[in-house]
Amino acid sequence: MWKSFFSGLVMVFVMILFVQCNDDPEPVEESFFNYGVFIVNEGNFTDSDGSLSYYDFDSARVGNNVFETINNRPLAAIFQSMAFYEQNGYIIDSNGRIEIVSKKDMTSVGTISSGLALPRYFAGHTNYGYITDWGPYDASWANPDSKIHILDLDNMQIKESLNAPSRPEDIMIYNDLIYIAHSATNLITVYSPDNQEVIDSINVNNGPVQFVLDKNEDLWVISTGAYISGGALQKVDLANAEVVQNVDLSGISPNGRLAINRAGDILFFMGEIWSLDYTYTNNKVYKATINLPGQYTEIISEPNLYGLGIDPKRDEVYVADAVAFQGNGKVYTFDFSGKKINEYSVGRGPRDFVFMNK
Amino acid sequence: MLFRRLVILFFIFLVSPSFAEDPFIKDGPTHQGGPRLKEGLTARKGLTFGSDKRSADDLSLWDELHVEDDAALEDDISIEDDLVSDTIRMKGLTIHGEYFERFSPGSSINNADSIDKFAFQSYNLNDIISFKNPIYFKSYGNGMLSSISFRGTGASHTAVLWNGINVNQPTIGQSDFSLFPVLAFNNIRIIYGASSSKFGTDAIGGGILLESTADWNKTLSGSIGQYLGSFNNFLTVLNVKGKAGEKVYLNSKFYRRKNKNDFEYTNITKAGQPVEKQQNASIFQYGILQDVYINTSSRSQLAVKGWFNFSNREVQPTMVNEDADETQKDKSLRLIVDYGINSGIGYFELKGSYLWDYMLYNNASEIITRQYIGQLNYENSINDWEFRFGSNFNHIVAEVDNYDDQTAENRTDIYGGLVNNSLNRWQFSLNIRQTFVKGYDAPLSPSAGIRYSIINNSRSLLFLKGQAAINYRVPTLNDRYWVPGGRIDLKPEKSRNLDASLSYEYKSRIKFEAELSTYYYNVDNWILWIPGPTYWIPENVRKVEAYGFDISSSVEVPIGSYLSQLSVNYGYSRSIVRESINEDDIGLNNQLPYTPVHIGGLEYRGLIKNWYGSLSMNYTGLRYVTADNESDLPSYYLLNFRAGKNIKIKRQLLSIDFRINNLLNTSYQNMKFRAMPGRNYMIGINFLFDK
Repeated sequence: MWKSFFSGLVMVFVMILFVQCNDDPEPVEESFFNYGVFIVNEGNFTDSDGSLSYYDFDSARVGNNVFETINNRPLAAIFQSMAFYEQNGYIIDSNGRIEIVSKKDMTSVGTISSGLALPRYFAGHTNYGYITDWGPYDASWANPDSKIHILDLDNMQIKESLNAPSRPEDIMIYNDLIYIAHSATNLITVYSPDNQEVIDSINVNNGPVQFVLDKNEDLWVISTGAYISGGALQKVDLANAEVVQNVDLSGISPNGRLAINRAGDILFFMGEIWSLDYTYTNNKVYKATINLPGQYTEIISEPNLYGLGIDPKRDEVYVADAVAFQGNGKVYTFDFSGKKINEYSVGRGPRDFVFMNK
Repeated sequence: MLFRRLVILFFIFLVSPSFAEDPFIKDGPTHQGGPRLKEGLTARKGLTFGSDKRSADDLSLWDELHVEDDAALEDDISIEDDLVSDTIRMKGLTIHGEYFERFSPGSSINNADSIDKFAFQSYNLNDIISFKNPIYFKSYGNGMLSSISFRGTGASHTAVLWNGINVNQPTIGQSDFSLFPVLAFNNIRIIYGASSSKFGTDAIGGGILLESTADWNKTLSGSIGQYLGSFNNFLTVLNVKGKAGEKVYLNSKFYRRKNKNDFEYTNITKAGQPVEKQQNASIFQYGILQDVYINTSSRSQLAVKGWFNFSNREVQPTMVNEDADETQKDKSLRLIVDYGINSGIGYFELKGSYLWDYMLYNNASEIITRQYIGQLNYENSINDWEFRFGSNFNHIVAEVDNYDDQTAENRTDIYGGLVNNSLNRWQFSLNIRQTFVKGYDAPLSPSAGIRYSIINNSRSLLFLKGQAAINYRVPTLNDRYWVPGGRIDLKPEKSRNLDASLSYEYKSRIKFEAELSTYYYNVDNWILWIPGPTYWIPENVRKVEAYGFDISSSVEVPIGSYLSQLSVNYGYSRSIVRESINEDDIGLNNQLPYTPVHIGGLEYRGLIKNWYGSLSMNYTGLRYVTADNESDLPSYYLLNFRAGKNIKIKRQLLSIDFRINNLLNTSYQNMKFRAMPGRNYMIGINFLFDK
C-alpha cells in the first residue's frame, strides 16, 4: 500500500513537472531524420554487428552505419527493434541493452544495460517506457522467465519488472491499455499502466508475434503456430477481448511479419517456405482486405526475406532481404500490385522499418 | 608455496628409479638420420644454431641450453636438447618417427627452434606457431579458443598429430590450440601444404606434428620453472627426465597455470569508450605428461606416452556482452603405446592409442568422445627404394547430448608410400591413402613429390621442390550426427593441391636461409552450416579456390662473441568461393571470412655470452568478417620484446627471462568485439639441473 501511495506521490510530482514544462515549451527543432525510413539491421547473432541504416526520401539516398557515424562507436548490437517516443529513440539490442538516442540528431543520450536479458520491443506511455523481454534461455532453449520492464523515462532506470508469459514480442498502447503478444503461448495480455498489472488476457492462436490496428480499431494478430498447429491471422474485438475472426494460414507458414496500409483496410503478411536443401527460404508477401481476409493474394515472391513494412505515407511495401545473414542485406520496395519500385543495400540482417514522415 | 614445490621435487627424485650410466655415450651417439640426412638439411627449418662448428665458449650457455645436435657437445649439459629425434637408438636401426620428412621430399617443413620453444614455454601452441610462420589463428579472446587458418583454409583443414595420432576433436574436426602448452612437446613441426596421403583427413592446409622424444644420452636432468605475468598469470612447470637403467628412459612433465586474465581494454562499443577490466576470462589449467621408453631388445623398443590435460576456463565474453558468465571445462586423456621392431624382413611398428576428450560448456551440455586407434606400419628399403605401408583403424564413440544415444563411427585407413633416392640430385616420392567410413566414399588420396638439388655443396644448398596431391576432409561427427541438422549423407571435402618451393641454405660463419613456396588448391564439397527452417544444417555447399605464397628467411651473423639473428616471414593467401549450390551465395568470388590476405612477422635476436634479447613484430592483415567482404576488421601489428640471462651454477643452470608483449600498447581485435590485452609483462625463472 505504501508502495502505491509512494508511486502515486511520484506521479503527482511528475505531472506537476510535466505541466510546468508544457508552460514553457522549447522551440521544436526539426530533425534531419524527419522524412525517410530507418532500417533496423539485426546483424549476425554471433557477431553482434547490428547496425542502423537510413533512407532519405528527399535525396533518395541511403546511409549505413548511422549510429556509428554519428556517435563514433559501433552499435555492436543484436538489433531487434527501434521505437521513437517523445524526443527520444529507443534502440533495442537483444544483448540486454537499450541505446537511447535523440530523435533530433540520433546522438546517444544514454544506455541501459542492467536488468535486461533479451529485450524485444519498446512502447512509451505517459512517463514510462514498456519493454518486452524474453528473459534468458534455459537449458532446453525455452524462456520461462520472461518479463515486462517498466522504464522510468525521467531517470532512465528500470522501475519495475513484471513476470510475463513466455516470449513477449510486439507491444502496443491503445486506449491507455498495453497489449502484448506472447509468442511462446497463445496469449495476448492486457496491462493497465495505472496499476501496472495484467488486467485481462485474450486467447488467440499459438505463437502470436505481431499485431496492427485497422481502421475500425479492431486488432489483427498474426501467429506462427506451434509444432502441430499452423499459423493464423485473427481479428480481435478489443472491446470484448475475444477473437472474432480466424483465417487459417497453415498452408503458407507465416513468419510473424504483419503490416497494414495507410487507410487501415489492407493487411500484408509474409509466408516462408524452406528450399528442399535448406539453403534458403522462399518468401511470399500476401495482401488481404480486412473485409475478406481469407481471400489473400500473393504479390511478392523472393528468397530470404526477413522484414516487412508499409510506408504509411506513400503506401509502398517494404521488404528486407537478409541474404541468410551471410553479409549485408537489401531493401526492396514494391507497389501494392507487387511491382518493384526501388532497391538498395543496407547493413547485415535487415529486419524492420521505422518510417519518419514529417 | 615454494616449500611445497620443493617437497614435490624431492618426492619425484625419491620415486625415480636409479639412473645408471649411459653406455651409448661412450659409443658416441648414434646418428639419427635416415636417408634424408644424406641430402643435408631439410629445408624450412627454423633458425637452428648451436649445432655446429662454433666453439663452446662462443655462445656459452645458450648453446648448452639449446643444443640441437648432441654429437658436438656430449660433455656439456644439454638440458633442452630435445630436438633429438625419437630414433630408436640402436645400431642398425635407423627407422624413426621422421618418416614423414623422408617420404615427403616435396614438402616444406618448419621446425620450431629450441630457443623459441624455451622462450614460449609459458605460452600456447598458437603463440609459437604464429610467431615464426605466416599462419593465422582466430582467437576468441586472450587465452581462449584459438583455431587455425593455414594457407587460407578453415579451422578443420589442418591435421594436428601428437606422436603420429590425429588429435583433432572428432566432434568438430579441429583443435583448440590454446589447450596445447608449448612445453608439452619436444618437437613442433609445421608441415606446409596438403598431406592427406600421409596424415589422413583434415590435412588440406597443412599439418602440425607434435612429438615427444627420448634422449638416451642423459642420465638425469630436468627443470623447474615459475612464471609470473600480468593480470595474475601464474605458471609452474616441472620436468624430470633420464634413464633408469640401461634400457628404460623416463620423461615426466607437469604444468599448472592459473590466470585471472582481468586485463584492461578500451571498450570501443560503449559511449565514451571507457577503459574496462575484462570480466569472466580466467583460466585454470594443468597437465601431466609421462613417457616411458623401453629398449626391449637391441632391435626393438616399446614406448608408452601419456598426456592428461585439464582446463577450466571462463569464456571471455565480447565487449558487447560483458556480463555473460559462461564457462568451459576441457579434459583430455591421450595414451599411446608404440612398439617398433627392426626384424630381418623390415621394420614393423604397432601402435595403439586411446583418446578421451571431454568438454562441458556452461555446466550444462557434455561432449565426450573416446577413440580407440590401432595402427600397423611396415617399412623397408631395397637398394635406393624405401617403402612404407600400413593401416590405421579408429573406432570413435561419442556421447553428446545432441546426438542420438551413443553414436559410434569406424574409420579405416590404408596407405602406402614409396621414395626413391637413387639419383644424385633427384628424389621422388609417391604416397597414397584410402579412408573407409560407412555412409560415404572418401576420395582416394595420392600424392607425388619431387625434390631436386640445384646446388649441393658443403656451404650451400638450393632445392627445388614440388608436390601434387589429392586430399580430403571427412565430415565431422557434428556434421553427421548432430540433432537437429546433422546429415549422415554428407560427402567428404576433396581438394586438389599443387605446391612448389625453392629453398636455399648457406652455412658458413654467416648462415642464411630462405624459402619461397607457392601453392594452389581447390576444395570441392566444402561443408558449411547454413540456416535451416528452425535450425542450422550442414551442406556440401561450395567450391573454394585458393592460391598464394609464403616466404621465410633468416640470417645469422656472428661478430666476435655476439650473434645477430634476423628472421622474417610473410604469407599471401587468397581463398575465394568460386561456386556454390546456392546461386545467391553472397560469398561468391569473395575472400573467406577471417582469412587474412597478408600476414607476416619479423624478429631480431641478439645473443652474447649468456644473454639474449629479441625484438619482434607480428603483422596481421585485414580480415573480412562477413562472406560478402563488406565488413572487416583492420590490420594490426604487435611489437614484443624479450630478454633473458643464464647463470651457471656448477652443472646447474638458472635461467631468467623477461618479456613485454604488445610493447606499443596497441588496442586491437583479432575477432570482432573480442578484447585483447594491451602492454603486458611476463617474467620466468627456470632452474635446470643435470646430474
